[in-house]
Amino acid sequence: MKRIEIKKELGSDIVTREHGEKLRRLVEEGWEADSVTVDFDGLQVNSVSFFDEAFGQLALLYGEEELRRKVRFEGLDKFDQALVSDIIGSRSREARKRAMSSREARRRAANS
Amino acid sequence: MPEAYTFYRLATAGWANRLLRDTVPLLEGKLSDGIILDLSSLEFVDTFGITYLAACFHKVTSNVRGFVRPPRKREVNDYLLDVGLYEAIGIGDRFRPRKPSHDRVDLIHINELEPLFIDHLLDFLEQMQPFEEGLRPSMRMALLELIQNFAEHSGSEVGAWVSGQFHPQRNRITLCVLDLGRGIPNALRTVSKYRRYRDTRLVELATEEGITSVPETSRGLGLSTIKRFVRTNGGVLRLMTGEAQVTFPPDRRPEQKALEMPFPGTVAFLSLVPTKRGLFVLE
Repeated sequence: MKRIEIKKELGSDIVTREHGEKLRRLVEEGWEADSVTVDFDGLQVNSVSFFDEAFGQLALLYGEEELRRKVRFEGLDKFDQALVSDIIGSRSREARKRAMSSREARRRAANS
Repeated sequence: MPEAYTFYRLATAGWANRLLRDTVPLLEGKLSDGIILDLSSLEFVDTFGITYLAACFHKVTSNVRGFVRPPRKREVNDYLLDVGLYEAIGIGDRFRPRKPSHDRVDLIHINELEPLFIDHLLDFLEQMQPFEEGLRPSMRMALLELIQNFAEHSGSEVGAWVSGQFHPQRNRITLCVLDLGRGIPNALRTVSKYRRYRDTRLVELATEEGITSVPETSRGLGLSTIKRFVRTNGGVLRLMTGEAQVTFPPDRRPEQKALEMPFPGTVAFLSLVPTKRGLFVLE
């Protein structure tokens, strides 16, 4: 199990995409482990950009199910929990849409 | 001789066309002998007006010497003093404020995403009117996202201006984030499939999920999330950029309006109900 303590790794002012990207890399480094725990320790993030770059992009890449199985959140406040779920949901819908359109493109190519 | 520019009596979002007509030539003009910004007729200013005036003055007076003719109406001048307009544009010494007469508005100039400024603004507003559950993080989210957009996409030379105000009589909070950068339509037109769209259509598109000016990345969630938050709150989001002014009311289709004079940048104007629950992501 890998544990990421946000305050220690990224500091307290974590709002930008750059911070989100750093967190995503840290999570990906531990992807082979059983699970990755991300500890927010009561920080208020409230940033769509940060969460999207960290977890939205992981949802696009690995899918919602695998992401939820792999990553555990600790110390996220109620609003941030809901925001993360919302973003993961949006990106998962996008991933499904992309998969459908690429299947459709392959089907058309095969038919022609 | 410095050239004098006289402003109309209303500097508000509702009179944006008039304000732009007065100021866009000023932003584009060559003024070697300085400028007199004549505010003597000014009678009413809202958060849009104050942020726009601040950004304009800042831009103009970064090249030439600027003088201000203050509003004749004492309460309007007091308001500009309290907000910190003169200080913000670097001419504060000439109009030393007396004791502030009211404390319901704040104006901030930023050059990069700095969460502390946002927290300061929200503390300030929350002192006026306690927020309902979830509203503060939602407002913080909206401001962070708008400022992040400015920092990433606008290319504004004069930074961004942010203001917030509580209107007790209407039970409303207004927030305004303004930059003088390239604007949403120009940013989206860098993507070839959007090149032929009208400004109003592009502004509407920019608030839809997944629409971004950097298509090689997966972005485009910020404005759509802000729009959902504002609508759930029963508030109004208005975007003014390029030739477009698009208003997103809570329960109707967006209202489009073409500006007579293109807005040289982007303004996001949010009107919110502070006593309404704000946990929109749980709805």
